[in-house]
Amino acid sequence: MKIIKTMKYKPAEVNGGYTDRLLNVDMGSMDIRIEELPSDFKHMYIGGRGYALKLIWDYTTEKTRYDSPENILIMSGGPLCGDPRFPGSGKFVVGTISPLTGTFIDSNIGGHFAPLLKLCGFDALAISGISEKDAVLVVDGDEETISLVDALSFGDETDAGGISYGESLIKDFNNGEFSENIAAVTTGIGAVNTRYGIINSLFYDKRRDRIRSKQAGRGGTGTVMRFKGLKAVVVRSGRSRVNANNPDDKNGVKRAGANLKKVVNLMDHQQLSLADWGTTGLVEYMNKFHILPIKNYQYGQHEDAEATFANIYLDRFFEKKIPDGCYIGCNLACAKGAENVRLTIGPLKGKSVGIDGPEYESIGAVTCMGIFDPQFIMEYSYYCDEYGLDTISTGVTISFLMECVQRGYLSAEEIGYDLEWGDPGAAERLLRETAIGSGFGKICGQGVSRAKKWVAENYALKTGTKIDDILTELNKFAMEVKGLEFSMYITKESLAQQGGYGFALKGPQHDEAWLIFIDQVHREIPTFKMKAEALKWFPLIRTWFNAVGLCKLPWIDVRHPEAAMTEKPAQNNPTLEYYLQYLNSTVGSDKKLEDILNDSERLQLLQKLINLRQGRGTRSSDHIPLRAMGPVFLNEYRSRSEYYDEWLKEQSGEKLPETLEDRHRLLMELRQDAYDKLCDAVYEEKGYNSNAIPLPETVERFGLLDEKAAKLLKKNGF
Amino acid sequence: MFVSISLLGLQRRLIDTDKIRIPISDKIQVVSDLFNYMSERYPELSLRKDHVLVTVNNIESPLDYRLRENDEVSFMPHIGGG
Repeated sequence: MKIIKTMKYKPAEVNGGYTDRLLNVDMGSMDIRIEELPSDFKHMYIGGRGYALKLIWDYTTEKTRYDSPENILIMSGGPLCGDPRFPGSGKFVVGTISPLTGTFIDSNIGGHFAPLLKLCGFDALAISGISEKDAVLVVDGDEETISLVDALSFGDETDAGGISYGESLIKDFNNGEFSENIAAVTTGIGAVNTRYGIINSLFYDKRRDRIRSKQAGRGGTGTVMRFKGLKAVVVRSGRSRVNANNPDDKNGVKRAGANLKKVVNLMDHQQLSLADWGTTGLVEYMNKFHILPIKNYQYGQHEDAEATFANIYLDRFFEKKIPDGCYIGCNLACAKGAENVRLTIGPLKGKSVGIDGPEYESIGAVTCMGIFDPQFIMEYSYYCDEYGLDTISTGVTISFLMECVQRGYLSAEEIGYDLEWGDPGAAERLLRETAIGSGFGKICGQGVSRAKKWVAENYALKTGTKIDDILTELNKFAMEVKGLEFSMYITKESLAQQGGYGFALKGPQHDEAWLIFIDQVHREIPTFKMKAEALKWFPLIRTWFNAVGLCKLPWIDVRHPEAAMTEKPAQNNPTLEYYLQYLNSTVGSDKKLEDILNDSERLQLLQKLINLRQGRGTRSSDHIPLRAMGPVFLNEYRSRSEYYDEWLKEQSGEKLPETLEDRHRLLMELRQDAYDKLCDAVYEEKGYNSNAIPLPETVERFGLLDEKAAKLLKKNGF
Repeated sequence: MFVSISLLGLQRRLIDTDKIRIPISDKIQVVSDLFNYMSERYPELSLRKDHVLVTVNNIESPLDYRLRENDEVSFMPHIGGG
């Protein structure tokens, strides 16, 4: 490896989950700098997403865009990241200014990278600047060196692939062998050519004897990484993982971990069986309740969906039925994968590969295109990871374009080929073009928000229709908010989840709130007030997971046997007690649930301030497409007319309008009115004004009302 | 008069069918009767009342719900969203 810059350093010890050090790398000047974090930093900003937010708030401005040199790409675990005695402790967050939304994006990701980065002596890595040529960062805790090196080339095909390149790089770095002490993050060619490039987190899985990958999928973090000229980061540490966090109370950590593992062992196989088939099991449930996106969220259920259910992957692809944790010690072990899958499409057709996943979201992205072929789902997952593309944004953008064809806004001539629902050949072609930035893929690679504008301008030129009129129609089914594509849940029948997506600070991703079942099925939160409370509580607790470096699944998807006896079973509070015990035993605190919710509220407010600064923070930014509220077109109403008629009767208690058109119009008016009322209720609950601006006293309560924040609030009417 | 029990996910895999039709009778009147029937007939499902989400026609239902013709009942896991 040709060294551009290198430095010797002494890895800091970890104490109570923290090293209190930040590694700064400027890709423009090739400067590598170790920063000691002030003692109050961790108390205020916790770690992970909190650290990323604070750095973005401090060192970027309203003028910063994803491709500005001052934009920072932050990777940070958190104080609870890295202890194998507790399930799901390999998580970290990638945060930056997004190419899709223009504001802060955070995407969480599993694997060994953050635990090893911490063992190398760093709580976070912050990349700024832009390099003219591709480079790789190597943080070697064993050799006590940090180096920027020229990005090696392994041939065009390998260089283009996020996974292939990482495999070759790790082998080259480690004398031809993989090692559990080495992890890497990489991007692929899709990150060069689109706004929704991902970051792959690569680690060696001894049981499968291959490199596995997890993804920071949302918001284009990989695109930022590639724009900075950073092709990969490699970390190595041979330090012991046991007691990696050097906790305040080892026995407390041990007890907390043992308690949670016991619940997971006991309950998972009676519930979602994530250890058996990962998140693929969700497809069947979502299909049953009309929540699985079909044809760009027009429909939520399909008779062919059975071909994509979990048992198919278990029988056909998941041959190795072994524990599959993405980090050591996780007994939920949901990171399923397949070996020796022969690719039947795309540029690597004929090659046999290991495939990680598919996850529920990737399956939903494929059914969203009207495709129900499990082989295609496997290959779509593989190619998206290898190209370095977000399976969600890719699938939703392709689906949007397919619907533009269906509704006559786009033609085969403009695309270059037929782009019809359910055609794997066309979908694969557009996926490939998107990754390499050719043909119509150039439009697709911009994401729904920008593709929508291109379609409108093109159609206006063609037909003479006013652009605004076209956009009004396209906005009805362009499934994005704040510039980010929806993740894979249909919200038409859950007002709470409409808010879960609309108010999500990063855009419509479900990791801030997933309320569909407690709203639509359990009907636990019927009033606006109750929905608003849930829309405050769940994002707070979920934010905490992203700040401390933990996976949420052992909490949210494995119900504790005693939860049923509590006032709010969906909060799964008996399990949260184990998380509190783990936190307090690690960092030496005495926090209660209320304290960690307050910590999270500070982070949410900081993110809200960033959104305001970047022009994504007011009520208008929380608007959701009409399709997220209900059956926006008649064909959707017609497909469930009995259900919608019944819903209308329940709501209005009056005689139904005679025509389908009038019933449809009335239903959509009621839905829009309800969403508006929900906005008011949620803003009040969160301490915002009616335009979604946080009240100064709310900001002050969390110690965030500095000069910059005060100026921003003044600009927004205070 | 019949009702049906939808078997989803692991349940379908364990007993190799996706639907069971059962007549409403003296012994099967409310949802908990169905639950007891399923627990006894298929112990491999490991059904426990406090662990399952009971739905009738896709809406959560109490165990004392009185069954009507063509009701579709499920005993599902709780789902919290990833």
